[in-house]
Amino acid sequence: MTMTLDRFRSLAAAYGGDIARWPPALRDEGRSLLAADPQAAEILAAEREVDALLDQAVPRIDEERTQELIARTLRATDPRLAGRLPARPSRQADRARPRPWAVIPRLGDLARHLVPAACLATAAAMGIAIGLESGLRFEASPMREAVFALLIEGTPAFAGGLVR
Amino acid sequence: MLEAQTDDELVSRIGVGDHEAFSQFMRRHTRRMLSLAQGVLGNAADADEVVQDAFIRVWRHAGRFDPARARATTWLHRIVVNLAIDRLRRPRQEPLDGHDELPDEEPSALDRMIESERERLVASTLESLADRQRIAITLFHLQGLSGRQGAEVMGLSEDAFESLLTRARQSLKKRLRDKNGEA
Repeated sequence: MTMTLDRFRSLAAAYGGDIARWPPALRDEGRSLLAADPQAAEILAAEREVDALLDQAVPRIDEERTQELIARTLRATDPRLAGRLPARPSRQADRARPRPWAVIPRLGDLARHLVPAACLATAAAMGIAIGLESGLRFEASPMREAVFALLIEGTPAFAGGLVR
Repeated sequence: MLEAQTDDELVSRIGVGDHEAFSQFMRRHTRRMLSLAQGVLGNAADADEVVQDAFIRVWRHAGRFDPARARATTWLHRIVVNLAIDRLRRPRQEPLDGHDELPDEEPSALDRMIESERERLVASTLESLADRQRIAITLFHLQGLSGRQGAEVMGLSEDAFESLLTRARQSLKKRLRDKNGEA
């Protein structure tokens, strides 16, 4: 099929005065018409003026600006930098951390505080009991009884604190 | 090694978190995308933001990229154009950077001033076009995409893209003639 001058004009009006930029399937027909019809050359010449103006409108982008933007974007997406951010540990990471007292969570917290007190109370009670058994004179006094009662009964560890 | 990879291959690697591939992809396309965004927006600061956002989207969504549907560069152009359109819909602010600065007024720079003035005239005329017309002109004439690629980026048929280009160029010619008449 031969290209008409009207079609030639409309292609130039859309794609400009350089036939090499037209759709590939239409270039050969365009060149044939250009060779055969002098009006076709005039049409292209007029459109080339517009092309030349458009060439001047291409924004000039300098290298420094380009490199700056690349660096900024790479920093914003770098997975290694993201890993170093001082973020709050996730619940998952918190769960993964080994916690010896967390076998029974609430009881673990309680036991952590009570064990030292229980050891101290046991040592004191055993010392008193050994003293009594070995025949040492032990004069009862309200204060001593109160201290003894506190050591033996008042200590939460002995009052069932560990299993409560 | 990465230099030899095609854009589609790079995007495929980016999709599995390869930051080096992402760096290579950016080095290849950032300047061109800045030119595209600035051509559409007419503003350097907005263009920078749009292009950075576009590449961050590439990083996040490359895993979803399907090379059977479009080439990686077409996909990238589409992201930049869509973000630029979003930006155009926001209320415009006067640019504060050097994009609109007056040229050097020293006498030795006279030629540069004339050239610069001509560029300014064409740029301002392009900015006055309808957004879709300006995008079509930018893709085809300023970016050098083919008619088919431009149509793909804009989600149009080739015929529709051709019509859009025709209207854009006609409008540009008329406005330039009017401005010359005013001068």
